[in-house]
Amino acid sequence: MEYLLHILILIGIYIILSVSLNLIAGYAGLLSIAHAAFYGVGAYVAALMALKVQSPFLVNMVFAVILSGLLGVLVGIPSLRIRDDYFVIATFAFQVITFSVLNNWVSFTGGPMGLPGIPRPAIFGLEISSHTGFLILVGCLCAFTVWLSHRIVRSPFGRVLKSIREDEVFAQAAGKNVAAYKVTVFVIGAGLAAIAGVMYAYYISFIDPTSFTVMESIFIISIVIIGGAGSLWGPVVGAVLLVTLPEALRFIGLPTSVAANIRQILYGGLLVAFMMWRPQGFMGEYTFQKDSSRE
Amino acid sequence: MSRLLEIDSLDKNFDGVTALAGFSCSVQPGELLGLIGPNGAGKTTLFNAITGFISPDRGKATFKGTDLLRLPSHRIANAGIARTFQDLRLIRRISVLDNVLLSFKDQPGERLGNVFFRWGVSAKREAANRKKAASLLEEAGLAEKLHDPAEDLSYGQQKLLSLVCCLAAEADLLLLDEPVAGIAPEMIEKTLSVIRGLPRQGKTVILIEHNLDAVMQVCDRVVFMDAGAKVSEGTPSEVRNDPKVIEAYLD
Amino acid sequence: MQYFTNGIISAAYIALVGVGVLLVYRASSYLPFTHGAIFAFSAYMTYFLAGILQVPVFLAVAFGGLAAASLGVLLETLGFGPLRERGGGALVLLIAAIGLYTVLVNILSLAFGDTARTLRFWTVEEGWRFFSARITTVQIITLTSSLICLLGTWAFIRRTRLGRCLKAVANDSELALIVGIEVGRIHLWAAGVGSALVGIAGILFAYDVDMTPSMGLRPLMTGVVAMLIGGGTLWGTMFGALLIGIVQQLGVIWVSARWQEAIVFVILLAFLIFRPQGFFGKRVKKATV
Repeated sequence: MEYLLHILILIGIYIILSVSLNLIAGYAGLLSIAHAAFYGVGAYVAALMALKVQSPFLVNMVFAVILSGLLGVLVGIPSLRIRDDYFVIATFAFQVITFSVLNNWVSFTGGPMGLPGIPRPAIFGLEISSHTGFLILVGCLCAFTVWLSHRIVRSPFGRVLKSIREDEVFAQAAGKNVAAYKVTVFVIGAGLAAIAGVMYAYYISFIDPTSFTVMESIFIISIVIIGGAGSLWGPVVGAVLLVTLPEALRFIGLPTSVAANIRQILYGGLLVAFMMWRPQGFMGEYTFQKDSSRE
Repeated sequence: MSRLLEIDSLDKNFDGVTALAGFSCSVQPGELLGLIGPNGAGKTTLFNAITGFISPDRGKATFKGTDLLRLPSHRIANAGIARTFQDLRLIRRISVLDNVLLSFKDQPGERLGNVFFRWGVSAKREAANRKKAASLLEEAGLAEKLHDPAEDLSYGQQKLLSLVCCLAAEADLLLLDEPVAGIAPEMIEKTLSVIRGLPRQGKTVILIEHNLDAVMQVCDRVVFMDAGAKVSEGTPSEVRNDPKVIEAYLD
Repeated sequence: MQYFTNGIISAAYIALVGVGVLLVYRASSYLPFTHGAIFAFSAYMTYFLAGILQVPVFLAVAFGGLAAASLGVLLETLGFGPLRERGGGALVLLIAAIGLYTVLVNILSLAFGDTARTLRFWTVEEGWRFFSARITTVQIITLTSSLICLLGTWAFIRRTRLGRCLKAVANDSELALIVGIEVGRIHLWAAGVGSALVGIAGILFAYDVDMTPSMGLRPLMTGVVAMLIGGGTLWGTMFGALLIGIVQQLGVIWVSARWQEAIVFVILLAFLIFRPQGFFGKRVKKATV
């Protein structure tokens, strides 16, 4: 039972991550492999504050979101000047630089040793320590993220995001400040990813840089693409699928390291397969394919 | 009568190709100006230069007194200039209605703060915009395609849709790039009648067209452009009979 | 002086990878993320042939390089070619390349494990003296092979018909098609030669340093940076590689070695933001109207 709750909590965390990345990549069309950087910054800020300053959970969450949002501004700015495929490389650069900072600034972040002993979160005096408790907390945050995303997407703001994705020139000519929209969507996406990071840090109570690598970013974008970029529920479906499938492998009795490899082959392979035969994913709307006449 | 748009000696050179060579022109409010000339004359480049998509090397352009050359495209659009594109830019994947809705200015719902904290205001304006959009599309004869994706429209209907988007923007100056090129005769009539009605609504129009009949029918004044410069201007018949123009076309 | 020498050695690898990426990027218009996997693949192939099957070293290296080229061609035939035909653009191909990279690297990990191995079967030598620096035999071989390969690539593009076709396709693939160039074959050649270069770099690296399944990721990105600095030209990429190699090594004087990776990426970002055309390239327009 505990195991089931654990999986559900992980699914919740990944739903937050994929829904937030979907805003950036699926709706605004900005393919980014920097999401694990926002995730990691969120986790580390919360953990460091909890450990060094003993500040309460909610305060840590707020700071994590703000700092991650600031990183979001940084990542969003190059999107204004750089072409799509080079922009992906730029996001890759941000991801690696962030990982490098987390891994090498040993005096501050603990480096490869990570940060152990993160205390239990407490909301208004109520401490959360059981799996059930965490599940309820993650579930609420998950629901909040999904709600937020839906609200944004269905609003005129969301409409503009889609127009930027499809034809930036049209959006400009229609008077939309494309730069502001792009940076804004990165800030939102980064802030939400930070929430996932905070939850991860408190739940596992130990974090190290290996959870926030390039491969993790690739995993998250795979969830978005396979589930369906630019759709409301695609990322949710993707998260459920890509978190549970590899776990199912455990039951076949594979040794852990092999299972880890198979897991990556799984989502890597699915990514290629979908690009080949169903680029919109399960239920997506956007295929990262511009009108051929536009190029 | 003060000039709405004032263009003075615009120069633009692309990697050795001269696109604009000291082009100057002014446009009065309420005018329907035709911009004609052979292919490569620089007509679309001119539009791009005054809407912020290209930076001229030299020259000036002011709109209602504001310097256009220092503004980014979206600010120019918000200042009251709307345009269509030669290669027809629309958001094909979304509905006809959504394309028009995108074109309205000053939508409170486009600011996230309003989306979450002043949803009432945003919703009200959105509803009003929907009504306006529906009536604009009705007038243009596209009412029954309201919810269809823009890509389902015929080419002529799509061009008309981009014109409707300019109307939704409530722009003072409309720059139309080949609005009737390549479309069926009935659509040409329909589109021209919409364009003809624009000055009455207080709008000023500059029209790029190769279809000389359309230009003669609709425009008060015509500017003939060749090799990036103005060669002739006057009423349609004046320009048509200008020996310089005849020579340029025969070249 | 040692730094300078090390810098040039690094530059040799980076240049090979950079040009390997450049060939595919210019000819086929997408960033071959898969080169990161091919880098490792050829090293492991050589390891398998030389170490496990006890094939003589020269043959193993030759086959390793060939294996790299074959893998590149295979990926183009089965993966990128069909994707392109279905209308896949640069982003779609890049996404597929990322997926393929993930799959390939994990297959290597399953087959050989993640612990670092080496192709060296001799004890680490003291090396030769070169002014005040030390340079090992392997490193000398690396430099010379790299130079030979790079000059060979340059000659190939300049002199042979195939090479010129490649350049034509890189400049304008639609026009090339009209003129009668078999664009499909060009993609295959670009993939093959590009992968071979990357593969050779991988093998040399594995001899000089070590090998792990994910060894190719950093060289790949560094190669992309070199390509960018060079503005997408052949010599520019080599210059970029030299610049990065030396800066990285010199950087160790002021900043601890573990920040090397981050420095390269900061350089990358700086170029992307401030000078996307690199040192030698033409202005890259963001969107045409």
